[in-house]
Amino acid sequence: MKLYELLAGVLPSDQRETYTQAVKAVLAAEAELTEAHNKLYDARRVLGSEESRAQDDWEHTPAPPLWVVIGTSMERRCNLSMRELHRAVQSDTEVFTDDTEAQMYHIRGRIKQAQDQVHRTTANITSLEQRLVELEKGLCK
Amino acid sequence: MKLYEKLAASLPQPMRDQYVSTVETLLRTRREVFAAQAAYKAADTAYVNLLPDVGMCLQLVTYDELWVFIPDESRYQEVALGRHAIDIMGSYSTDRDVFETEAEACEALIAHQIAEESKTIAAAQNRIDSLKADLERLRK
Repeated sequence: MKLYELLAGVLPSDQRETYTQAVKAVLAAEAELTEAHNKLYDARRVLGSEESRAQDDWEHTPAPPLWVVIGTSMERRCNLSMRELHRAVQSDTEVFTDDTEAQMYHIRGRIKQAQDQVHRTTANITSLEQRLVELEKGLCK
Repeated sequence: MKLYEKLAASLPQPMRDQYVSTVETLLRTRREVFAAQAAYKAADTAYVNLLPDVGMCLQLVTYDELWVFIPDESRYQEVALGRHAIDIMGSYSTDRDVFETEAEACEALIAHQIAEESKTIAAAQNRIDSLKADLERLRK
């Protein structure tokens, strides 16, 4: 018998099922998280060995001048070998050889940020308005 | 374009495809980890929210005898003798095996030890089979 089953046994019937389900959900989520971590560990190990095989090719290949997206800003990276670029920048980072394309991507990102800010602020205003209406109702009583 | 695509372009085939596929597997796995973390956090929050009500009930219950299995050390331990259920809940993980009598705990311990010994035997048998196969190859 598991400890949670023993403990559930002393709870009133309405709490017993809810408690058991909550514990089972945590245990299942914990198992999935462990499995996902193990998969990530394996994927990192495989990628590490692929990258060490690729080092020779990257060392002898100069990278073109690139625009690299770092968070909300853009950085120019020049005179690097592919190997140096690989070591300096995360592999899923957006990079651009074309200046205009890089600027367009950057501006799109800033528009998206501003739109998210507008949505958040609108939601805050709605929530404050509702609170005001509730307070006014309370005053009328 | 992602950096890994740019890097892949400088690799010969089939290394290029293999590298792209490995990076994409890693990125997909990383997203799975984030999703699993969010799911765990949600499940844990729901569990924690139940604890005040559950704790109220468990405060009223005591156990005269309770045995807890400690798998890492291959032993069981008596933990009750009048301890409150809430105290026991706070001391052990919820999926720990527990027994209300020493006989049950002893039976579980022996079953655990047999399973562990069986694993050792299976590993040794595999090693013997592998050595026999090596020997057979050398003879040929």
